[in-house]
Amino acid sequence: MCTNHHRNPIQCIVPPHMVDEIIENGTDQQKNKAQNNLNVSTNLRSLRVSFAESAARPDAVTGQKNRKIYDAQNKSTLPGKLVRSEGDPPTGDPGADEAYDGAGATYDLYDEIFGRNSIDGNGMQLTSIVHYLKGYDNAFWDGEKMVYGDGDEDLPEEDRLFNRFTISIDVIGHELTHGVTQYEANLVYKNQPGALNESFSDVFGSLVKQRVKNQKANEADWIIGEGLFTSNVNGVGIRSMKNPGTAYNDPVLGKDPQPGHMDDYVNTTSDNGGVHINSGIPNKAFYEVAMELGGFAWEKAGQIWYITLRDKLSSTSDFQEAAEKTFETAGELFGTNSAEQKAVKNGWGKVGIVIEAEVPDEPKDEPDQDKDDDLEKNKGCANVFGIFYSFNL
Amino acid sequence: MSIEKPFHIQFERSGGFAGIATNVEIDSRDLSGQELGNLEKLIDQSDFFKYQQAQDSGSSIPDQYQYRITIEAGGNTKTVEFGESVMPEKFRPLIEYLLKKSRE
Repeated sequence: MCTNHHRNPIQCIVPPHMVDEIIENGTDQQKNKAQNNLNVSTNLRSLRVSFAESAARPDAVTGQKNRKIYDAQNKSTLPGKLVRSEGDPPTGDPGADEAYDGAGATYDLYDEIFGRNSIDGNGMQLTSIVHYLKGYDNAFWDGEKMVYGDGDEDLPEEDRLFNRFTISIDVIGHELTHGVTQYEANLVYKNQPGALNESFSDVFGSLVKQRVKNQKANEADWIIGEGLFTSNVNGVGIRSMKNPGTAYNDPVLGKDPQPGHMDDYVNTTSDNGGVHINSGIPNKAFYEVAMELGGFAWEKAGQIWYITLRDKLSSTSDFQEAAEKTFETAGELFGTNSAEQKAVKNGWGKVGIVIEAEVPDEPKDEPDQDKDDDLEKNKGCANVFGIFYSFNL
Repeated sequence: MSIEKPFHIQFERSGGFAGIATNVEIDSRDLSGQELGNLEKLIDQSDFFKYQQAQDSGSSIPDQYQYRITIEAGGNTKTVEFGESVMPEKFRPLIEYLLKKSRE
């Protein structure tokens, strides 16, 4: 609708009056999106080219959720029996309904905040399998669907360590994000690229949870897998993004092995080179950035991480490259030497990853008068069909 | 082909969403006759010593379990490694036994 703007595609912005109209006259979905985008946009200060170009990508269109939940009935044969499709009422089975709701909340985060239509950016069906095998203490993304075990349901209650894996909404966001990563940077699931793959899943899984709970960065617990352990385990969850290595310390399971600093990086051949261990380092970097920026973590830190995953990283990117690319993205989205870019540098610095790029004292490219006019015209605008934008707020 | 005794097994399951490793070590001399016989059968059945290690033992499937089994017997040591999704079916009974042992 405004892609033919004379100056810059980033200013593909629905004018405020149009947003008001949509809020007044649109369908419920459009109203919600417009309202949401308006609310969120007031928190963004600026937006630059790469971010805006995303609006022109085919994956930046609004789509429809298409969820399917299957029950594997404790067997290994997939997918099993279809128990709930999009729009169906709850089944009454907590596992199936959590998988449905969690996939919906994850879809909504990607759609409403990042302008992404499902895992592949093209409306892919979200397929979840619940009740996979018996006593299966795990969940995974098999390349096209999410698969969840029931934990230790096969053991006597006093011996159970794990609950069903759908119980924690960030687990669902985590698994779906493996799908997003597969379609974007496609980070190799080994060593540092693998740990980054894991970390992106934790980051967006946590953002799904924070958004559902309407929590700002300083209100969130930053725990991954809260509620997964039964009361027999001494632990609050599987991982802590805030304090890696402190999520559990249990006589049976041992101690959370995650490092939160490069000094403690774990060299191992287990777990594909410690992908679930060393992810603590980029996890903490994200937490630090989000805390320094304040507000809702998906608004700025989340945007920076998402655009970096989508546009900047390759399958072999390591921590250093992720740090440099998030720094670059922050500069493009919010400006060179912006508070956001500094926060990214500081966040990685706190986990021992130094970004060498020089940040000049003053922004290098001062906007010209023409630009200022454009910026002024578009102040407070939002794009109701995908990513929200605003300028000079 | 029967395994030479005594033998020693190291087993590890790593990975999974939680990334919590499970380990067990078994020495053939510590097992009762019946259990030892059973384990020898499971090792035989898996064709452990004939297994050709794939170059990429890792699984590209996120959050799946990774298995690693090392057996020392008659002065030889061999390790095999694979992800849950690429586990050869004939290894399943052996892995199930080792997982059970790791929980004892």
